[in-house]
Amino acid sequence: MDSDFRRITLPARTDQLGACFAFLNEGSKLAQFGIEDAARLDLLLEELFMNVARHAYPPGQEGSVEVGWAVPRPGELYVQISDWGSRFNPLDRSPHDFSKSLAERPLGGMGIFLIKTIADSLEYQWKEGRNLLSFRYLGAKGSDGAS
Amino acid sequence: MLEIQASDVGKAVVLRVGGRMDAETSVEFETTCVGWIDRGAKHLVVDLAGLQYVSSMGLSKFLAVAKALQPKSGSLSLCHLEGVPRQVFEMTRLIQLFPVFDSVEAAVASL
Repeated sequence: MDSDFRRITLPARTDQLGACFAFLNEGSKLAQFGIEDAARLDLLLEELFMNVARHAYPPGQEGSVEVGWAVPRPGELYVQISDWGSRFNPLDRSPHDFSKSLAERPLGGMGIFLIKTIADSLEYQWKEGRNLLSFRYLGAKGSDGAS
Repeated sequence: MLEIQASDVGKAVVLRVGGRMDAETSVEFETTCVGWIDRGAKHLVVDLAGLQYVSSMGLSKFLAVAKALQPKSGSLSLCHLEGVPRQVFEMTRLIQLFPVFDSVEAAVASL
């Protein structure tokens, strides 16, 4: 897969989200995903990218984030996102309680839940001083996804 | 890119939202809604026919606006919630917390 692995390094800032989407869109197209699968992929990437942009580095310190993808075969996209900030596994967060009423429901906590629900596999590693989170996406059954 | 068009129809303010509601753009949605609430609007009807994408940050804005309306006995109704946006509302069970209608007319008539 390494020979087909494409990557981009961006400043870990929230205003880089658009650049991140544009880069992932190339992978979505190569994997022959339709509009709905591309939207689900954007959702996965946004949650992970924003997590790095907001929390990986101390306030005032500008760090980097590397986003990479590969298309092992049509209908499958492998995505990897890594940073050199403090060690943190976002998948360790406790599950969100979705049974609460409107008044009691917290505003946050939905992002990681969506990642775990939508991604087909998820893996976190702390490797050579960096957080490395990767997932595979195989397209949603019954959608306009992989052909 | 997020597009919002608002119109006051008397019983409610109708907001037609189109485009993508992500971490960057969803702030505009919340700001627009809060602006109407501050001017006395109690019922907001959001037409999502043109919405292609909503992330968890976008979802949290819907939640925040609904929470702001609750003590005022107001409401945030959703119309034309379809496709991936509907899926994420269902996955997170937010759909249970909002009145959802097939049309703006039905939402306004319910008030």
